[in-house]
Amino acid sequence: MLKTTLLSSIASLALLAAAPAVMAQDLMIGLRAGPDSIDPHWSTLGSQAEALRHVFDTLVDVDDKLQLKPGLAVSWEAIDDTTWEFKMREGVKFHDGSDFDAEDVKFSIERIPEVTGPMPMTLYTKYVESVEVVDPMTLRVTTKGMAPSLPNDFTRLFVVPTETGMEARNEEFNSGEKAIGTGPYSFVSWQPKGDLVLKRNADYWDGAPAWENVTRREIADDAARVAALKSGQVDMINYVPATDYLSMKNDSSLETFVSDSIYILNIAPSVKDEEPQPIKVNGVEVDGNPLQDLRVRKALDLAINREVLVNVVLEGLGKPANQLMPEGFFGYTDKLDAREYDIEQAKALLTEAGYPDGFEIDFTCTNNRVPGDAVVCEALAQMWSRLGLKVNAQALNGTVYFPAAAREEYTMTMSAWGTLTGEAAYTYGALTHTKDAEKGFGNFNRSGYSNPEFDKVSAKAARRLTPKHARSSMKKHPTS
Amino acid sequence: MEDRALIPTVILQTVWAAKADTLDMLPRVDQETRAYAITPE
Repeated sequence: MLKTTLLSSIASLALLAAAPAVMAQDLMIGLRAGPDSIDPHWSTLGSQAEALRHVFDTLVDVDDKLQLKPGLAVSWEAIDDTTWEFKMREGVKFHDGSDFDAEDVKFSIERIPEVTGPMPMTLYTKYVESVEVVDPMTLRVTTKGMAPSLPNDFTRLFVVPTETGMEARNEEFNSGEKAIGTGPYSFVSWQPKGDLVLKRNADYWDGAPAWENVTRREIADDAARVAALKSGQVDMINYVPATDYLSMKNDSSLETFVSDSIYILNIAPSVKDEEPQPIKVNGVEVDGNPLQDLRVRKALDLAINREVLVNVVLEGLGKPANQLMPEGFFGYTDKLDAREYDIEQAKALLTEAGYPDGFEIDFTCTNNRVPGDAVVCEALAQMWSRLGLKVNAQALNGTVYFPAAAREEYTMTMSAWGTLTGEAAYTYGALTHTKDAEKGFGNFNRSGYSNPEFDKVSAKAARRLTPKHARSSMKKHPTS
Repeated sequence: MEDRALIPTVILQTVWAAKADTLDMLPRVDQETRAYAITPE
C-alpha cells in the first residue's frame, strides 16, 4: 500500500508540476473535526493544526511524507551543541500587510507557555532555553542541552505577529481580530463545530492557492459526512469510514484517495498506585491496581488479535502495529517481531497474577478522533472478554474525552497518536517519559508510567546530534 | 518493549473521497486535508 501511495503521490506531484496553475472559485470540504479555537497556540490536536495552518505558517514545514522543508525559515543549522540558527524568508507579509521578521518568531516562541489551552503547545518548545534576534532575518535559539529535533518540533511552531500582544485572549482569535497570519488563506469567519471560512491570500509567498474561497465544514457524524458528499453539499470529505470504503471505491460517481498514516491506536493502562476508576472482582473493588502487574498488561496485549482488527474491523484500512513508531520513521526498528496473539498464554498469565476469572474494568476511547477508533474500542472489549474480563467500553466525543484524559480520570484508554515531527524523541518524550511539567516531558503520559532507565536512554538519544547514534539509542527503549 | 506501558494495536490508513473527476489531491501521511494541496481537475 505504501508503494501504491508513493506512486500515486509521485503521479500527483508530476501532475501538479506539469499543469499550469488552475484557479477556481469555491471549495467546500466536509471534515470529521475542526479546530477548537483559532488561536494557533491553543492546542496540540492534529485537527487544530490542520485547520490553522491555512491561516498561520510554521517556521519549518513538512512535505506529505513529513520530511522537513522550508517554511518561514529558509534554512537552519546547529552552530554549536546548544544553539540553532534559523534564517528567515524575506519579503513575507502578514495578512494585515505588515512585514514578517525574526521578532515575530521570537514572540511566538515566548507566547506559547503563556497560553493556557487544554493541550499545551510547550511540547514543541520544551528544549528552548532562550531566543535571540541577531538581525531581522536571523534567529538564534539556545537549547537546554543538545536538541537535534528542534527543527522537527518547530514544524508546529505557528507564527503570529508581535503586535498580537502577550495578553491576547482566545476570544480575540476566534472573532478574527487576532487571526492574522502569513498563511495561504486569510481568516473570514468561524463557527465552533461549524464552518471555518477562508479566503485566498493572493500574495502568498509560495504562490496563490487554487481556490478563491474555502469552507472547512465540521461534520462529525460519519454517515452525515458521506451523505453530504453524495448529495453534493460538499466537494470532498476526509476520514471515509472503513465500512463505506469499498462501496464508495466502486461507485463511479466518486473518487477515493488512500494513504498510509502516522496514526497508531495505543492502549494506555494506568499503573498508578490507585487506579482512577476502580477495578472490581465480583463487584468488589480490588486492593491495589492490577494493571501495575506486568503479567496483567502482557495478558491484555496477548489477547489482542491485530489481524482481525485490521482485516475485519477496519476492512483492511490499517496494519498491525508492534511499536509506537511508523515504519521508516526515525526511531523505528525492524528488529521487533509482530505482536503475538495467544489467548491461552494470556489466560495463564492472568491466573498467575491472581485473576483467574478476570475482573471488571472501564475502558475509554475517542469516537471521533480518527477513523475506526470507536469500532476498534468495541472490538478490543470483546477480545478481552475472552479472558473473562468484563470491559465497560465507552467511546466518547473528543470534547469530552480529552479534557478528562488530561485530568487523568481514566483507568485504561485507547487513543490515536501520530508522530507528527517524524522522529521518536517527540513521541517517547511526550508519551512514556516520566512526567516532568517543568522540563516539558511526559506531557501526554497520563498513566503514571515511570522508568528511569528509559528516561536516560530517551534523553541520551534526544541529545545526540548524529542521527545514527540517536536511532541506535531509541531502539533500546523498553516501553512499547 | 517489555513494560507494556503503552500497547500499540494498529496503524491506520486514511481515505478521502470526492466527486469523480472534479479534484486532485496529494494524500498526506499526517492525515491533514490542506486546501492548497487540492487542485481542480
